[in-house]
Amino acid sequence: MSRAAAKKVYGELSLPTTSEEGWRFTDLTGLDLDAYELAGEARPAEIAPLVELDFAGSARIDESGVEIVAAPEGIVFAPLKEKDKRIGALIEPGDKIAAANAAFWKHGLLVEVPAGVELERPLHVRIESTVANGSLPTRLLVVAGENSRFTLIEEHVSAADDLDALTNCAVEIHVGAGAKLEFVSLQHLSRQGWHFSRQHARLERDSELDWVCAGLGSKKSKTWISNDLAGAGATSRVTGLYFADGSQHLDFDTYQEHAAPRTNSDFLFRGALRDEATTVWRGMIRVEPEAQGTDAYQENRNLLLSRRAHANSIPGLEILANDVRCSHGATVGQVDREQLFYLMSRGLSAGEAERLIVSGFFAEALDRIEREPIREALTKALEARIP
Amino acid sequence: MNKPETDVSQIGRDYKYGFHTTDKPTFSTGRGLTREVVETISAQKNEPAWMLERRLEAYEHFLTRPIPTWGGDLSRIDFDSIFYYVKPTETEAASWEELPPDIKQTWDRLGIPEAEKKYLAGVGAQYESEVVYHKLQEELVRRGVVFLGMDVGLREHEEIVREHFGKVVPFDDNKFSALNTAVWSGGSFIYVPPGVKVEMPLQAYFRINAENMGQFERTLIVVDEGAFVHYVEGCTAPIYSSDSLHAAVVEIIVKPGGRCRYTTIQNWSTNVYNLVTKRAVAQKNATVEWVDGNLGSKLTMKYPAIVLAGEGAHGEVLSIAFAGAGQHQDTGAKAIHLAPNTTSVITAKSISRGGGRAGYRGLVSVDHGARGAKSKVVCDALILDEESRSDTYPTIRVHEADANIEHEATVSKIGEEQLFYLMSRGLSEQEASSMIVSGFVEPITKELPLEYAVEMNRLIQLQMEGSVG
Repeated sequence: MSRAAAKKVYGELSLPTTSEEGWRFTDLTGLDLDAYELAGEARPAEIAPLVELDFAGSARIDESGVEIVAAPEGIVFAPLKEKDKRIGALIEPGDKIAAANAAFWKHGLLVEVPAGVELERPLHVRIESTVANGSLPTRLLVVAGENSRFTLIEEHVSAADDLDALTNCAVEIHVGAGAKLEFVSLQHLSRQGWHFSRQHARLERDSELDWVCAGLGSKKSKTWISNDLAGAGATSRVTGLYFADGSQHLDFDTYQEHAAPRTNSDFLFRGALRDEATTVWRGMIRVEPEAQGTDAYQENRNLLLSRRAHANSIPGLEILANDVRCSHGATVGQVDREQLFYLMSRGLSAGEAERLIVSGFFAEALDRIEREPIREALTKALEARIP
Repeated sequence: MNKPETDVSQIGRDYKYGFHTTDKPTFSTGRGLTREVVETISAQKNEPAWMLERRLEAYEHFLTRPIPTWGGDLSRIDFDSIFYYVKPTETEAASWEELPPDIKQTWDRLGIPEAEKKYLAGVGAQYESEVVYHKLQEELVRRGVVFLGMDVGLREHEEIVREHFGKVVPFDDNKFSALNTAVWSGGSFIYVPPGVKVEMPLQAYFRINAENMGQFERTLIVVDEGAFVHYVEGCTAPIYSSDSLHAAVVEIIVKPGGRCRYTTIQNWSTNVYNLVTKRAVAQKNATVEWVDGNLGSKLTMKYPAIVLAGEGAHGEVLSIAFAGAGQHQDTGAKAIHLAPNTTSVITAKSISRGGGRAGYRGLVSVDHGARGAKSKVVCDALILDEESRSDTYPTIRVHEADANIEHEATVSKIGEEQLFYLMSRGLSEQEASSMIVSGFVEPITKELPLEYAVEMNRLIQLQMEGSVG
């Protein structure tokens, strides 16, 4: 869709309301997309990195543009060009937020790794929101050539802890036949801003996608993660971790689309809530008639750390093939008092004991993260949230 | 041990209640729904003015309420072709012999008088819009138990009806509760006094006979403190080429320490839209159990709900759905925890075959203040062939940290290892799959009253497994 067409759609649509199924528990009242300005000039600040790693390629995106800090030989790691025909192949401007991105995005990154290329060190892109009352719509286009292997880490950060801004990101990922992509998405934005992120991957035959999603920041956010298992034998694994406190509202909306035979998907989300925070986790496993031999799993577990916190969990299955194994599990619970008592009887303070239990709660999700520095950084970030 | 008479591929194919008789009703409002139809129904019943007001208010709401776009396809319901009120007889009979021969013959063929003699404490039988037969054991009448058709219940116990009618399911709860409130006719009214335990089930049987019939029964059950009742309902209809509509509302109030079990064996013919709102309120330490079997109908949208309003209340839903060719069972359950230490267990099983679509749609909600609430939901689905479909749409909302909520669901086909094992022991594939399906639904079937062989046992054991085991 052209920018002009997207602008038209944007003008015609209103913001989704809670009467729409995907928005039942996320109320956008108070959000005025047009009140956030598409700023021309960034006001960069020193932002401590969440993960410190030796990157093969690194880029920064802010309101002023894209800065390629380092790009490895043999791949495309460059600003995304508006003319690129692959833009929009996976994400349609179906609602006002997606249309806003399609109409107004200025800066984006193209990551294209040719067939057979393997990168030992990860690629990294940091999207920095730096302007108060600014709107930062960005795009990522990731193309993993056949049998390529690499890791891409994206970070969403703010220049200040109290920055009120709007970030709206669209990520399209094509995983070629036999390729293996590790995609890590870390969101630790200011707790004053709105954040929307639509992330959609398409997996070809025998490809593998290992995805980590961490949601820590924002005032109110919604993150969509869709995986189309389009080629036979494709496998996707998504590990999500979130922690919401204060009055944060974090919404994760996942879709496992099995459209080809013998495809596997395994989504596991763990979240902790404190204070008056709200989380929404929504998941759907959809198995098309031709996707015989599907093995699909989804899990969402929530740990409530205070009485006013509020978790919503809406798993789902739509199964149109019969030779399948599909299951899901969802729980909402609290810190086990017996565990707490046991630990405190061993001399731990209530805070220490709770921290240990919360760490244990996240351990299963963290253990699925293959790269140790990422695992450690996330462990630390989660622990920092427990007073 | 008998040989299985049919295999699993026969589920839903062999509908033996598809006959109809050609009796002439004594009164009908004709096709379609207008304000006059609502007024006529009320006038026919000689109702108090407040009930007519409720009906008209609901009718206005029905007109403005959009048709739901979720669940099943409701776009093909032709509201103008439906008969909203058909009165089959002038009076309610107290013995089967008093009924017109055609109607009596229908009940005989369904085996109801026979069942009544053997193991039921009371029977109500609704034909089209009206309850045509009603009887309760005299012993229970003496102990103060009330089991009447809803219309008679309104006449004889107006105060109780007025107190509770529309309180558990408000008219504007959904489009079909509005429709029911506007044109309701028939259904059961039950009151069980404090401490009285009705040991044998009370049964209501709902029969649609005419083509394009709309049946809108309304049931109100009030179980007083420490009392118990088990209510069983069954439903069948003839097979016609055009559709009928069944939109019932059931309201249950269980007072402190009371218990109510409500069992439904829904076996409408596959031309019936079955759109039912069922909800119970459980007060302090009360128990509500819904046993909900959905085998028939074209489309069923039904999610029996329990509002756990009093401390220590317990709710249980056992749900089973079969969807065969042309059927869509959008069934489920809701547990709303409002009070501390309330518990709920929802077990749902579904089987789809022959292009059918079966699903679970549910809600577990824990309000702030419902400390110590616990809920466990387990949904399992079997898909027997490539054309069929299974859906699971649960929603979990928790506003209280001191709560433990679990949900799990699995969708699979019949396990090849299980099949292989059974076949290696000499069973045919058909026998083996019958046995597996039978084992799959057993947690629900074993909860049915042992004596209640009339519907569920016949359908499941005969059609699916013969009498294996």
